[in-house]
Amino acid sequence: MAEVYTVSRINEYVSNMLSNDFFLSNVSIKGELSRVILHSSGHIYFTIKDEECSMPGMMYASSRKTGLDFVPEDGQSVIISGYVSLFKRDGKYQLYARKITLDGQGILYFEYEKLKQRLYEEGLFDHEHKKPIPAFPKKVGIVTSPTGAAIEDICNIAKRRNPYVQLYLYPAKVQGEGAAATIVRGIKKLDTMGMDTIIIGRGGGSIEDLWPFNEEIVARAIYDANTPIISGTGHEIDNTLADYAADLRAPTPSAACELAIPDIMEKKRTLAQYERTLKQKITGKVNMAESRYRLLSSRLEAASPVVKYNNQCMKIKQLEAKLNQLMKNVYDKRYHLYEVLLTRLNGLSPTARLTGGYGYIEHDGRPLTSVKNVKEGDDLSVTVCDGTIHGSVVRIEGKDN
Amino acid sequence: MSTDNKEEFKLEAAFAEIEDIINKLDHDELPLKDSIDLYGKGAKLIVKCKEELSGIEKEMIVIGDTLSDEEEQ
Repeated sequence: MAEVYTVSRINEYVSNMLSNDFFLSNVSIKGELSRVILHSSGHIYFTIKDEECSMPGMMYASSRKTGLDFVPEDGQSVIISGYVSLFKRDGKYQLYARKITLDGQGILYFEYEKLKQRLYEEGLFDHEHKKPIPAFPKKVGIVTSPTGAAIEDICNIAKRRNPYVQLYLYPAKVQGEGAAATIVRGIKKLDTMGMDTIIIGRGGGSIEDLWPFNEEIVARAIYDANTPIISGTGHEIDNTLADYAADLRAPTPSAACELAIPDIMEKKRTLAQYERTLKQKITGKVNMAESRYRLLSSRLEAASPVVKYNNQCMKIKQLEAKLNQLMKNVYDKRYHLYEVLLTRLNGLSPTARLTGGYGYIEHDGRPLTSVKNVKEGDDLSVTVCDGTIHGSVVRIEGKDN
Repeated sequence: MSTDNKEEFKLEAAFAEIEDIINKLDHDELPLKDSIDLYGKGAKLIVKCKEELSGIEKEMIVIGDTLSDEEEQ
């Protein structure tokens, strides 16, 4: 059996092999920079790549002074001189740059710019062509990877903002070979399914990760779709051609979802507030009208003929009572006077004087005032105070005889 | 674009209309009859909006026949 080695020993061995290789100890490599990290230590980390392959690389801070006269950025086309060696800890070989020079524009970037210009001139990015995004969608299509964080974020946001929206996912490949074609198929498929809005996107990545969204067929599919499309690719600094062609551009897939789906809970709260306000207002109005009605009706009632009639009746009764009272007073007074007079009259009556032997003599119903008015045998009546005595004349004596 | 988009656009319009009604009801000199008519209109709109804003929670539908296993790698 062969000898068993530690990982360190093997990495050490490979490292020595690479370091002793004459060719690899001083090479110049042409390619495009990506994933450039300017570390705070001063070291620079990057990936250099061509259409097919890539390799990691770095430049020590100490090499920067002599070997670098520009700020390296993703997409730059460069020529790097240095050596290839092993990063022992990770067992990863990489390019250690002594010198980095610009090689015109990065080819990908150049192509991107060229295509962007062409599509722009063709009118693919025209503002007039942008379709409005429906304010309250019911069906939202999504073209993205079924496994990425993007779809998870979109689902969560959609559920929180409006769980009644039906989401349709077209699982697409969002990077690498053939990705653009699946994105195009997704857009076309969802466009025929009566979506209100379509979201296309993926999470952030390097420029080559986002590349499918820079392909002409994707931009055209977006332009040709009848459904409004919101793009959300990568992070804010990455503008893809898909972003330019889309009806609305969002910095991330999550933001695209927020633009596509309004917060229905907010709307529900607003609506409830509207309902309360409306009820308050109408109740206020009705109450006001009611109290006005009460006031007016009581005023009207006060002015009504029935009330007037009743008042008059009452007045008549009062007057009648007063009249009666007055009449009674007058009568009472008179009666009293009568009584007084009667008493006094009684005092003056002739019969009242027929006391002490005086009497009142009548003959033939007339007072007898002279002896000459009677003859013997005539009837006489003598009235005294307590009655009348009837008699007849027996003898007549005149005063003269 | 789905055909009932117009219906959905009405929701925004309905919100605006309700606000308009509330503003109109603020005027004291508005006759009661008109106020009640406006209120009725507003109440109907609110019912419609409520219908529009409610529904059944939906699960995401994944459209098939798209990726082969190889593509998904």
